[in-house]
Formats: sequence, structure tokens, C-alpha cells
Amino acid sequence: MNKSLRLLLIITFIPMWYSINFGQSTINDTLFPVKGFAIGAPDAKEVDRFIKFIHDDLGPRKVTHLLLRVDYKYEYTSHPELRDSNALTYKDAKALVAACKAHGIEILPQVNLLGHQSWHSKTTRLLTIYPQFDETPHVKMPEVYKWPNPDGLYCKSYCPLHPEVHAIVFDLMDEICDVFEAKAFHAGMDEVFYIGDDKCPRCSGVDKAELFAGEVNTLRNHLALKNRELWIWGDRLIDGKSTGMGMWEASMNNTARAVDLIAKDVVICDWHYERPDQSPVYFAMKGLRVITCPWNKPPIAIAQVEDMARWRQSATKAMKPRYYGMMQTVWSGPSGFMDNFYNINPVPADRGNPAATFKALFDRMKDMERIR
Amino acid sequence: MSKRISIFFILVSFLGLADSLFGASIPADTLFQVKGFSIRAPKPDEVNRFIQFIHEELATRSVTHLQLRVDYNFPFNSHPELRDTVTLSQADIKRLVEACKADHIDIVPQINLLGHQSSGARLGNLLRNYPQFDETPQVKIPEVYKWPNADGLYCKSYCPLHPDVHAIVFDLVDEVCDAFEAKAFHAGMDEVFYLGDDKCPRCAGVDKAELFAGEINKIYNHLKLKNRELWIWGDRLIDGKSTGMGIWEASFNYTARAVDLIPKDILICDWHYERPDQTPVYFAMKGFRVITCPWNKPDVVSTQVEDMARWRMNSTKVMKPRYYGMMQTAWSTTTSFLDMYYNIATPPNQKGNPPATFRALFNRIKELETVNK
Repeated sequence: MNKSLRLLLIITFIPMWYSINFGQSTINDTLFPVKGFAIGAPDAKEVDRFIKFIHDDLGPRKVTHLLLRVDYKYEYTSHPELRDSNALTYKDAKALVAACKAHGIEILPQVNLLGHQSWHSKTTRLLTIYPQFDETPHVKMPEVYKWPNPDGLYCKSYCPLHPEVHAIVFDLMDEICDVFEAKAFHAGMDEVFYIGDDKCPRCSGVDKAELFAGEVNTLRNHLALKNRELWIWGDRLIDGKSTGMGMWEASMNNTARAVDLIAKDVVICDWHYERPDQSPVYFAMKGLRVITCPWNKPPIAIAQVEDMARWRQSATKAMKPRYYGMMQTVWSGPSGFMDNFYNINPVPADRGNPAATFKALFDRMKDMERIR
Repeated sequence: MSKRISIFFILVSFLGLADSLFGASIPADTLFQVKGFSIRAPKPDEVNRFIQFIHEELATRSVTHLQLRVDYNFPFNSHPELRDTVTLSQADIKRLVEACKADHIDIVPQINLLGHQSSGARLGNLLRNYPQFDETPQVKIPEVYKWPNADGLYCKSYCPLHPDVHAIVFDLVDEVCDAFEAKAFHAGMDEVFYLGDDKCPRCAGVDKAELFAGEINKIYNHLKLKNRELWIWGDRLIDGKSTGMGIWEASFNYTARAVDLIPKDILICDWHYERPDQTPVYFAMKGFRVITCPWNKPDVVSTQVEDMARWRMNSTKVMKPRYYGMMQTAWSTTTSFLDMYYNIATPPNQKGNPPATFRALFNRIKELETVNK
């Protein structure tokens, strides 16, 4: 076969391969508006190393959004009492912002609201300082935490109907958004098991979907006053029973109908790690933008990104843009992740690997964009 | 690069592609529970040709279900006044049933209920004989029908709250199901535009999703008494506004919330012809079995069948079996379809090509089943 014939073959087959995989051509050469990366905020002493990672590995991969789970790890001036001991300084935050700006990366700070107000045997800062906000004060924190336990305690929640909780929560949101110059805020809101507790004098008897949606809308409205978007994890909006997705990545506590009660401009981060689920279709049909979030299985992430690209192609004009993107999630802080990523302390081969998944996801997106 | 290596490379790329489309493997060698075909029931003079088509074209493709849109093309004994002028005879029906039995095909008869009670300028038999069931008696059937029109008349509906309508409708359903020895009945219920009309003394003001769901549940419960399943078209259960799917293949008249008000063992026939929409996921997540129904675009159908197979692979254990199958729809008379199929008539270009779509669908299913064996 001569050279020109080979070239002809390649030219013929590449578009064919592409059309089988993704249908007709697309207009943009960027696959998705969001190509995100989510990780715990670094400890103050890890900021420099993390900034190097931003420059060396997020920027070149054209990451568009960095979701930093800050929670109470910032030297809040509005509420110094809520600072974690190893909190980031204003200067640290600004250094992170500058590093991201150099690559056109937007930072989305996350303070996990409503749920996740304790971890194992300790309440986190908000309920430690303001125990009156506790949705379930009768559930005592155990000395040694075990799951499962008779209280069904995974994490504590604050009471969304407590008359004083939002004044404080809004201060934190405003301050963290200001310092990270954020256009969007991530409120977490995943895995909220304690909600509408029978013993809560305010919440008991209130429809749990309405309670959950009420909190989403309250946060969304506050952000909207400063033209900021709300992002949340999607699990409480999926019926865990009818989908067979269970109580973690979906809801078994009657919150799922909230999907019809929240503002349509909330961005849903839909996380599934074990299977390339089709739940983004559900959110897109409901009128919500959705980001698929993988974690630690490269083949799953690849199937997910191919699904999202295919759906963006084949859906109605109204729905296409709602398949908003992909976001790699890392459920640790940067230190352990970077040790794995740079092979300093790689995870064993028989375990899920977030670093390998991150590489596979962004490699696949790059391949798909190159074909365009 | 040597010749051998280039060919090897091309082969590997293609095999890899097939693999990446469908993951590792599908264990069963039958892709779906339903591999269906939907068409208007033949008139008596077409029964022979249609039976030949069943044996030669449906059976050879392992079609599992034949949905026959019977409507009033049936020799009703309970209500002779509702028969079409020319209808199938009991003997014709028996022959259709025997032909399908021989080929292990279940017949699912359809009488379109609630909506589709008129077509163009022609009132359907139910409302012609029982005008009191008309949901919108104030809308007169025009001499010459045009769409769009000032009344928004696409098809008439019966009033689902009329106290006498179900006694008659259920007689028809029972008789048709008995004759076709049906395990499932298809109630149509697509494109119902007239519902909960402001001038209807019974329906005005009633929530349209509740009205629509109420009618579904009534029919469902009646069928359940004889262990029969209910199949319906899915369009009224999809929000046409939020999905951008519009007024035909989805609902602009407030019926979409009915999806949460009906039993989960109703089978949804989800029809989309222009794009390979992802709506089956929505129904499956809601707990329904769903069948994707293409019509006339061979390229769309290939994607639809690949999607359904992929979703069956990738979803939770609970959801996998809800991606229940595919059903080719033919929206013409049997005569017109068979003429196109056997190249006696040419398909009109602007309407795509239903016989070619039928072939493409079953070819693709067969390919996928072969790969999975």
C-alpha cells in the first residue's frame, strides 16, 4: 500500500469512527462547558505543592472549574469561632485564585450545608459552636464511631428551619465566595440522612422533599442576589428505591420529589462510581444542567464521558446544553492524591484509583476534542 | 507501516469500537424481551398477504409482539353499532391468531381510547354513535380539515368522567382481547389534546394530570381483572416544554405529572422519530418498563437500539430489565406498508422510509445478538 492510499484510508475511517461514536459533527471544539476537578482544600502547608499541581497538571489539561471543599478550613473573619485549626489564610486563598486565573480556571468553593455537619465521632465546627442548630440533638456523638449503628448516624445535619442558622451560613457563603472570587458556590447537600426528624419541634411532620427543596431554594436565592450560581450534589434528588441506586448515591428518605420543587438554574453534580448510570438524562429532562462526576474507576469514567458527549449530540436543542460537563472527584485532600498521582505513594493495583481515573477522563476528553 | 500491520490496525480499531459501545458482553443471546412490530390491522382483503408477511418477514426476524391497531375494524357483538362498514371477520381474526401462534408472536390489540376519537374531518365510531361522550361538543367537525385550526382540533376525545362511557369501552376492550387471545392490550392514549376542557361540565377545573392518570388507572384496573397488561404510548407523560420535545411526542397540556400517578407495571411505548432521545431512561428511573418505538429513519433507529442495549448493560440491577425492547411502528394502512415493503410503491421521500427502518432495526438487533452469543 503506498503512502497516499494509507492516508486516504485514515482520512476515510476517522470520520466514520467518529460518526458511529458521536453522530454528526458539533460546532464547538470544546466538548463541555465544564471540565472540572473536585478535591478537598489543601492544608496551609500544602498550598505551594498544590499550586504547582494546578500549573503542571490542571492547566495543561484545560480544566475549567476547580471545586475546593473548604468547609471550615478558612480563616473566616465574619465568624472566627468557626475556623478549623489548620485553616487557609486569606493570602493562601488569593494565591490559589491567582494560580487558577493564570489558566482560566474558576474556583468553586464548597461549604457542605445542611448535612455533613459531623464526621465519625466529632461534630464539625458549626454544630460544635452552635449546638442549638442540631437537627437531632437527642443523637449523641459516640466515642467510637461505627457504621451501621442504631441511630442511623452517618453525619449530623443542621435544622433548615432554625430561625438563626441562615444568618451565619450566609456569612460563610459570602465570605468564601468573595475571597475565591467565585461565580458559583457548591453547597454539597449530599447524603443528608437526618432531615425532618420526628423529634425536631420545627421540622417534624413537614414533607421531606419540601424541606430539602426549601433549603436548596433558600441558598440559591441568597447567591442569586450577587449573581452567583448554586451547585449541589444530585443524590437526594434521585429515588433510590425505584432506581435501585440505594441510599447513598440516591435517596431512600423521601427527598427525591424535591427535583420538581427547586429552581431550574441550580447545577446538579450527579455522582456515580460503580456504573455509568444514565441519571443525567433524568436531570436534563427536568430542565436542570447536570455534570457527571466519576471517582476511581477509569473504565466507568470513560463510558460516562462518552455517554455525555453522545447525549449532547442527540438530544433536543433545548436539552443539549444541559449535559453540562464532567467533574473528576477526589474524596481526600490534595496531599494523598498528589502522592498517588506522582507515584510517590501509589494506591495498590487492586483498588480504585482516583488519579488514574482523572488521567483517563481527561485523556478521553482530549481525544474526543482532537477528533473534532 | 506494512500492509499487514495497517489492516491489522484497522481491524483492531473496529473491534475495539464495538466493544467500547457495548461494554464487555451481554449474557443472554436475546437482546430484549420485546422485539415488536406495530401496524394498523389489515382489512379483510389484505389478510392473506399480511399473514404471508407474518410468516416470511416477522417470524424470520424473531418478532415477539405484533401490535395491531384494531380500533373499530372488528365485528363487535356487544356493540354492532360501533363496527366499521367493512371489518375483519371472526374467521380472519382466528387466522391471524393462528399465524402468530405458529410463529410465537403475541398479538397486542389496540383500540385508541380517550383521544383519537376523530381523524381529520371524520368522527370516529364511538362519538358518532354516542355524541354525549364528546369532551368538546362545542367544537364542530369541519367539512374540510386543516391543521392548524382555530379550535386546536387535532382529534376529538371522549370525556373520561362521563358516567356511561366505560361500560361501552370495556365491552370493546374485552371482546377484542378475547378474540385476539391477548395477554396485553394497548390503549393508545397518544396525542390527547382535548382533555379537561373548560366547557365540560364534569372535567372543567380538574387537574389534567389527574384526569389523564385517572383514565389510565381505570383501564388498567379493568384489564387487571383478567390478568391482562396495559400498554400505552408515552407522549402525555413527558413534559414537552422542559424537554423541548414539543406538543406531539410530549405534552404541552399539563398531563406530564401523571407519570407519578399510575401503576408501575404499565408498559410505556416511547416514540421518537427525529432523534434518538434518551427518554427511556426517564421512564426506567420512574419504575416503568419501556419500549423504544422508531418509525421511518434508519439512522435514528440504529442509535436507539444501541442505546437501549447499552442502558441494559450499564444500569442498576433493578433498572436493567426495564429497558424492555424495541417496537417498529408503521403509521399507514397495511396495504400501503406492504406495497412499500415489497417495492410495489415508493415511500414518499419527505416521510422517510418505514420499511427500510424496519429492516435496519432488525438487522442491528440481529448483529448485536450475534456479537453477544
